[in-house]
Amino acid sequence: MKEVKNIFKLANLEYREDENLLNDLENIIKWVNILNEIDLNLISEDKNHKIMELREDKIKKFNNRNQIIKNIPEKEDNFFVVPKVINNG
Amino acid sequence: MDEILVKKYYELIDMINKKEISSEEVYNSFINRVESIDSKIKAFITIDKKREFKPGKLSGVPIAVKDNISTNGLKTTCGSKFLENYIPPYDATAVARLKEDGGTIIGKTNLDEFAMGSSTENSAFFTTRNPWDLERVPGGSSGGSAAAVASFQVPVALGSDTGGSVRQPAAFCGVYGLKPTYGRISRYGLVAFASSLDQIGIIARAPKDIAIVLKYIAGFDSMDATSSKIETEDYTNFFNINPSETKIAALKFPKDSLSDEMKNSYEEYIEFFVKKGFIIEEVELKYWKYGLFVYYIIASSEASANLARYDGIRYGNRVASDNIESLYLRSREIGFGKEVKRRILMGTYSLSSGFFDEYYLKASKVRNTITKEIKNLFSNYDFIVSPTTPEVAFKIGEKIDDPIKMYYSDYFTIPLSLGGFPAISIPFKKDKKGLPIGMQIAANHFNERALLSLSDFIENEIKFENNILGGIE
Repeated sequence: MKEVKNIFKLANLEYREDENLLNDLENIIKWVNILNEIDLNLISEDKNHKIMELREDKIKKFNNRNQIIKNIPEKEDNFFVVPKVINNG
Repeated sequence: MDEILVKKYYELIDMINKKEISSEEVYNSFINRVESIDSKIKAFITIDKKREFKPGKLSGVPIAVKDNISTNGLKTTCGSKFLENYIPPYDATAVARLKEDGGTIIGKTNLDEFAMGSSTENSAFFTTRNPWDLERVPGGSSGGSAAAVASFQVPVALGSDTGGSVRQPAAFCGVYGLKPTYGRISRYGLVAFASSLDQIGIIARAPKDIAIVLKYIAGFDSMDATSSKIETEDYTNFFNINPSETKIAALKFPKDSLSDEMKNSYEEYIEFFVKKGFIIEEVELKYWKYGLFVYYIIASSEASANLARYDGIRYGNRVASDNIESLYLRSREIGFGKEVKRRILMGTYSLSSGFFDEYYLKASKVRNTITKEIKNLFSNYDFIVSPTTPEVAFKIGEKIDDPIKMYYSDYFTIPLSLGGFPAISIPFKKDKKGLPIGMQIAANHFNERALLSLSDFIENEIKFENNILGGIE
């Protein structure tokens, strides 16, 4: 199941073969396939989607910076610490 | 003490403002109640220990808030290991608007992880018990909020409803649960699950209590681009219901979609409207039954995008690693529970190249068709009625290993969510075992005032009795 492996990758989830997750996923996909019995030509195309209003991009002061910093799982001098993401030359 | 606990939210506010009782007295009665019974119900994840009363009309009367609604300085876990220690740096708009007039948050209630589930069994911490029968689920995902209200630990609670997560637990716990029109209450600070469906809802033991809370929290908010600019109303000012001028559509469903007991109760519900002189007709909708499938494609797709933010870098769970890929993968593997992973995978699949047209796009088209079909009904009828759930509260463990069986819990609530319609679950009667049965009323967009008025009319007629105050032992 190469396809399934790719879904895990896209979802940023660890792929483990032994898990019931695979079965569940397959069953759910089969289950929603019931929508195939609807003839899409019979249902109208037009959308009632409202177009979202845009607002001005204004800077607003946020006054609780400390709590944001407190929530960082690993930090140094108020900076986020991350593993190295650039490979050596 | 019990005399305070059984009072409605509006009565307590009134008594405090008339100085018949103090904010402290009211608050302490409820805190004592929580301390004495919540070890059995397990409705709360966190209790606010600060006990501060800000001045205002709502001061001291406790409100419970579902733990996926942000509270400044108070842990907001979403029922997930990923956010076990997360403390929001701001209040959700709904919470902020209550606090502005003294609203007092007593604590945060349990839920299915990220609001994905129908029983609270998907909470990473514990399962909440149904106060009517501790062996049964309270429903979900706002199960903690519904159980807290039903067991007199608070008079009102906030929940969130994406496909039925306020209405279904309200039905299982014998209380009222309103999901307002999409856009009526700001979603700012409600942790996103499926953004085109999520809506904050209100749970209480009286329609009037829901109306008061709605009055405070409804209305446009510049922080939520999907919140509506349509004027709010005084929701506490109920319309006079004149049955002979009120047209109701009673939805017809396939026989196997309801338990026998539910089927009989639904007939009784329809009979109630007939007897009171309402104009009521049975109506069958062709596309309703597809709602469930459409929902699991759309909600999962949106969830897979919304939950991509949990990467272990800025907040939440982090599993240390020397490379970034494995840091993401390990943090998410340890942080997320089973159901959340299922939905992320389902959503990723629906959105992935090669499957997008067949799943997400098709589901969106059917969603529009369902919405239109319901909207059309409202050109002829004022209200649509149905049961809230296919059956009464089920036993803990009964469906947890069969996700699809669990998904059917929302058969009657989902199509209305897909269309953004307001709907309420009302406690209608009890079954032979004494378990509550909830019935649903839906109205056209932004008709919350009418919805609450009819609910109040029904309450005054049937007087549903919650007799569990002393009964949880």
